[in-house]
Amino acid sequence: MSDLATNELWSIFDARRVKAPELRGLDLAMNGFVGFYKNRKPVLPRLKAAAERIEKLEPEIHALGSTRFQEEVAEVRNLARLKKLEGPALDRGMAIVREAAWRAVGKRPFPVQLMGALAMCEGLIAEMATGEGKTLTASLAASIWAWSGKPVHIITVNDYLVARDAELMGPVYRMLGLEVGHIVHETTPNDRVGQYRRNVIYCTSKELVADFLRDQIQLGTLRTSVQTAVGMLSQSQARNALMIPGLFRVIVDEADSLLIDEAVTPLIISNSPDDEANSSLYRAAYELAKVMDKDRDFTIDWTIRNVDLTPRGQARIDELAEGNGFWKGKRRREELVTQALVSLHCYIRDEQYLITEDGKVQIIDEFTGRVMADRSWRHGLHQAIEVKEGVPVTADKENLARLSFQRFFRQYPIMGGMTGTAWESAGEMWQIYQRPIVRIPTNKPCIRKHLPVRFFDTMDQKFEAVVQRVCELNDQGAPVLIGTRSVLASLEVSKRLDAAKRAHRVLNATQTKVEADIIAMAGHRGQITVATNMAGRGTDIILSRGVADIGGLNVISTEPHGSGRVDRQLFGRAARQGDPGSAQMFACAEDDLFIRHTKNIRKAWRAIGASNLIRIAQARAERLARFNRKQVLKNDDWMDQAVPF
Amino acid sequence: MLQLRPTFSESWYRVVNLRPKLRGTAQISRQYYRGDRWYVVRDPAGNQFHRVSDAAYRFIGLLDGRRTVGEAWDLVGGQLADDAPTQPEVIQLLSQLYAANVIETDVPPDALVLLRRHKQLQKRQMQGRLMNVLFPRIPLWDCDNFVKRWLPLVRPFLSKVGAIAWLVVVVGAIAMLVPDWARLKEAAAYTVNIKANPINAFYLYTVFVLIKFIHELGHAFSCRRFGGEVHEMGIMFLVFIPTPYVDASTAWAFPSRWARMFVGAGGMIIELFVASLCAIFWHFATPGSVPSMLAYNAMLIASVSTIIFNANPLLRYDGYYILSDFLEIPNLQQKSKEYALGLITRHIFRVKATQPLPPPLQRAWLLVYAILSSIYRVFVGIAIVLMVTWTIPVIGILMAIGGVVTWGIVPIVKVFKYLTIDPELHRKRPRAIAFTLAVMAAIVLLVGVIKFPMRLDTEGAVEPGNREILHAETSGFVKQVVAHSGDKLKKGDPILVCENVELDSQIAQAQAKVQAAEIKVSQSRVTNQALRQIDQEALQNEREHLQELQREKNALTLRAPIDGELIAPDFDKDQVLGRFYQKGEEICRVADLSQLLVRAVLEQRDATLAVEHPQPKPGPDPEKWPTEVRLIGKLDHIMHADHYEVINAAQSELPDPLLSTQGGGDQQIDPRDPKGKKAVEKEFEMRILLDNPYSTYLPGQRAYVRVTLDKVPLGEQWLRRFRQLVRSRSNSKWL
Repeated sequence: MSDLATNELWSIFDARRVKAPELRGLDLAMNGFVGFYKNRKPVLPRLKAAAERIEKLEPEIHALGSTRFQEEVAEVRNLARLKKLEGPALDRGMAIVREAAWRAVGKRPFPVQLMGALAMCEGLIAEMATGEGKTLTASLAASIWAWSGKPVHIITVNDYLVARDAELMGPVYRMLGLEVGHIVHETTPNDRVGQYRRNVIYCTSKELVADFLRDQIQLGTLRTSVQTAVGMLSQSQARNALMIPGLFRVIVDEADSLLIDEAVTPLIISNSPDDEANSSLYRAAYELAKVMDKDRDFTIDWTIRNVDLTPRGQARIDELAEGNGFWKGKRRREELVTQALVSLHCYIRDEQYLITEDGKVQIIDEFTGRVMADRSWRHGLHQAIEVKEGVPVTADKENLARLSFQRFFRQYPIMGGMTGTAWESAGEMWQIYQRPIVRIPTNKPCIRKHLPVRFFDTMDQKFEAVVQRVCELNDQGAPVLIGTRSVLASLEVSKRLDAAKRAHRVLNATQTKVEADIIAMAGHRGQITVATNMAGRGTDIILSRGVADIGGLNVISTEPHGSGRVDRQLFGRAARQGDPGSAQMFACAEDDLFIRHTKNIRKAWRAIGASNLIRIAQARAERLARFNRKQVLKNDDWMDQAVPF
Repeated sequence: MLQLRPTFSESWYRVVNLRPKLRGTAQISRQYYRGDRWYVVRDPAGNQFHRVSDAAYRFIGLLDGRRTVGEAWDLVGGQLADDAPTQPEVIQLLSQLYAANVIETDVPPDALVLLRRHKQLQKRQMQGRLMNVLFPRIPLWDCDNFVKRWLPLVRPFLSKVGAIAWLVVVVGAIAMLVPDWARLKEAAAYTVNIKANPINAFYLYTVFVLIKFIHELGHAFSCRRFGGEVHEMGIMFLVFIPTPYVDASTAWAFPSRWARMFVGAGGMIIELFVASLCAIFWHFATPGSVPSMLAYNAMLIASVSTIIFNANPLLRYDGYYILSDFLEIPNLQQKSKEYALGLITRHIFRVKATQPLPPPLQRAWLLVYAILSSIYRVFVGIAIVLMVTWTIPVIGILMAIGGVVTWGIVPIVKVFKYLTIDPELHRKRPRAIAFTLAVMAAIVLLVGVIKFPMRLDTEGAVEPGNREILHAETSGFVKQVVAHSGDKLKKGDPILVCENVELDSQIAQAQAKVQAAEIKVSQSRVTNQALRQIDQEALQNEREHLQELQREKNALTLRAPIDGELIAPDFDKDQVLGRFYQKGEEICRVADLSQLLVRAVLEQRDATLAVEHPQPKPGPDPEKWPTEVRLIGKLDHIMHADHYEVINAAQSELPDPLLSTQGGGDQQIDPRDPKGKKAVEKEFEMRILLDNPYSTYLPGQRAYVRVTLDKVPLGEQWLRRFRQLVRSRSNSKWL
């Protein structure tokens, strides 16, 4: 059997396994202690020493001729296959990879990048500041792993980065005798089968999990390793249909956002049955919802964006629904009206969703500000919003398979990760993935200026101040990057900048294709860039000549995010790699975060202190998010136990 | 959407294409609860039950192994609309049926999950066994065949005719016993008093096992009578006492609640019947004979234990199941607990209900049951622990620790977990925590911080504070009575003058001897120096002898040894004059009444309290001294003492006969004691000294004593009481 075929069979035992049950009681406490210890274990000196040893090998490796270098590669690779790539051999391997990077793409990894790569090889999550060259770091670690013969998945945040990184690092891998592949949304299924069988595969989590789920559907009832193995050996067509040969090793970029923040976002494969009968039902519910009075017939819980009917509201629905034949029953009726109310009052166009030109409701991810093209809300809510916006009502999709990122990534036996901000979520990272975090120092000290938070009573005041500040900076010729939380806010800022007659570029979820280019130019002199959070992430903002002298890039956040980490990720775009730069937060009491989490105390921000209020609200939001994630995990575990078919 | 019953589930895809069906072996029976139809699905192999609603049953009914879950759900939804099970409910239902092993599907379940589930089950069983180490069950016998074989013989009794016969016998027995009530009571005292009648302990136990065996057979036959199988009989340990049991749980699937109730009552019915037969036998048997004694034992056990334990619905015995069936509330215990806790979470924590509430009429039952049963359980638990501690202290302590864990630590941990991590409390957590803390603080304050006065009340006899009994130092005849009874004397005042003629002559003789010796000395001074020495010594002896005699003579005049009142009731009578007192004979007493001594009795627990508890400090104001005494002669006046003293040794003799029931007090006296001072139980003595200026109050009367000890929190008081309670019957030195 060929190498990969053996791998595939083994992978079944290795990767498609039942996850360890949830820990409880003393086991949980003990695990917590272990995590606490592992997160604080001083690994940094060891990594540093290794990086120094690798540096010392440089002259020797550098002097090798091209043929001799290939021989060295082959030698190290053989060691890796025998699982003997450790100690001095690992140092040598890493030095070879480093040299390959230099020879192939002209990049010479810094010691901190070597440390990051070594940390990931050990299965740690490396915390590295933005702009420290994570792409290169990932490829160092990936090469070492890929030599062992098992495919390495490198997960990045979007298709643009997938293609870019694969292309950028391709020569390095090829010089090391490795094949590199990448999967983007447009990749055809046939092509994917081939790509997944290469040594290093760049892809987004969405594509990877979707392919994995399609494989699962393909396997159908073959759930356990033994069943799958027997099935694969007996049915050759099933084997051919599988796309992913197995889950072995993965390197996750932006590990905290993927593994923590988006951990419970389920990836759903669904089909759309032709079912038109429902639309009149949703419409009727919407008509009913429109006449309901807020606070008397229903109350709104902003924290979880939900509506509760009061007894009066329930009676009102009964009364209004009288004589309508198509209500199936009281409970279903109330459910539909509640959904209509939620769509009417809790979801706002261009904040939570947008309408495309061809009249489709598309969800905007509240976290990334990105359009989730083929995602739809839970049963009925999507339809309710379609009714509200007066676009054609689509049929409720039927789930075929569903998997959350956290469950998916827990299946990898070996995982490494990189992120700019992970330390805060170290506890959770350990609890769910059993991965400790190590903080890698920056190559050059960071000289970013954090300006004090500016807080206002109203949105209007806030945006006014933002524009004023932008004008000030623009007058000096300094580049400004304005981060907004929603598309709506970015449009608002843009409108006001137009009014102030300032040329600027807007980057929001509707312009994904050019966002990397725009963001790359954000460091140019006099440039004003308005972007939703995380737009164009993974792209370096390089300062143009002379900008460093006038203070570098200035990042302005117009609204605090639910997680402080995301704010810091935005701020991290300024002052990369020892450049100057500043960061400032603008906030107001009308911001969504404060309405949802500090409803009662937000007006008293003067007494509490603006940064304290933000801290309180973020702490609450994070607690809620953490709690939700835990619930989803628990629920999934319960399903596995309760319905093991 | 936080709907009460959301229609859709995100996980629906996991089950929607399954084609499950009920196993062929699953047994289904229909039951009605408060007019609603329910179905009980039973797996006969594992004897596991699962109760499903009518709507859920209709859904299950559609699962034939060919339809998918999704198709069946659509069909049920079309038929039942609102009542149809929702998607989450269907998933729940499938998982429960799967757990009850009554469902099979075209897809083989994940073997690893199955394996883990099996391990978990084993672990749970093991834990259950460990937890139940105090009440273990040992199955011994599959009695189904036996019961089946003998049922034809028993069946006539389990019919209307049998019921009439039963009624006749039971009513007849009661009618017979009523006139015999006094004899019944007397025999009861004798039977239960195992110390007096040790052999009966053996009889009692033998009869107990026999009766309980019959009781269990009663369950078994009545269960079989309605077609239920009875496969398990064995021995369980009720507080270490081996007791037979039978597993008649197949009766749970009976469609008729009356049949279920009959099976529950079957044991008691037969026990009462046996009790009646024994009563009739006892009535005619020779009193005191062994058969009579056995019959009496059997009657006592079969009636009293049945009524106190089996019929009591607050314990989880027969009565509970009967009540639960009667009220048509299955799982009464659990539901009542859930409802009572739900009241708190819904109304105080303002948590939204996630499950439909029980119908209004049931709510009252549930609440009442929840309150009564939890109080009763704790009460019974403590009683059992105490009983065991008195007999086998080590196990008693272990049980007490177990009790503290299950009733104290486990609930606290549960509450803590609920308050800190339970998702139900989302957004209401601060409120819930605040309320719980407030309640806890109130309890701690009430039990642990606020001090409540502690009082000791007892009775004592009043004696003079200081008294001397005067004895005759020299025998003599009374010549003159100087003082009279009741006279107030100073120390040294004469009371009585006696004369002793013999003494007088002895003195005269001695005087003569002294003179003679003196002469001899003066002579020998001149003649012989050596002799003089001897004579001098002789003179000395004689002089001393004389002095001795003179002292005796002086003692003939009786003087008051202390200040005080003369107590000499005899003196007023004339015959004292000229009376002869033998040396050492008591003549009279002088009592100092400026102080009174109250000698009170203390029960052991009060004595411990009085000894261990630091004596309250007397304040500057005598009116507020914590030790109060009221004399029986003047109850409205409260006298105060600054301290008391406890004689730290139990005595069986009362300090004063006044305290006995004969003397007007409360103390039971052992009637066999001729002196009338020996108490039934050993008592401690408490002494209190009272000031009695001007000798206003007289000794020789009873007094009520109340000591107000320093204020102590209730918790400490209870703990002390409890420890005393434990100690009072146990001889162990550890406690």
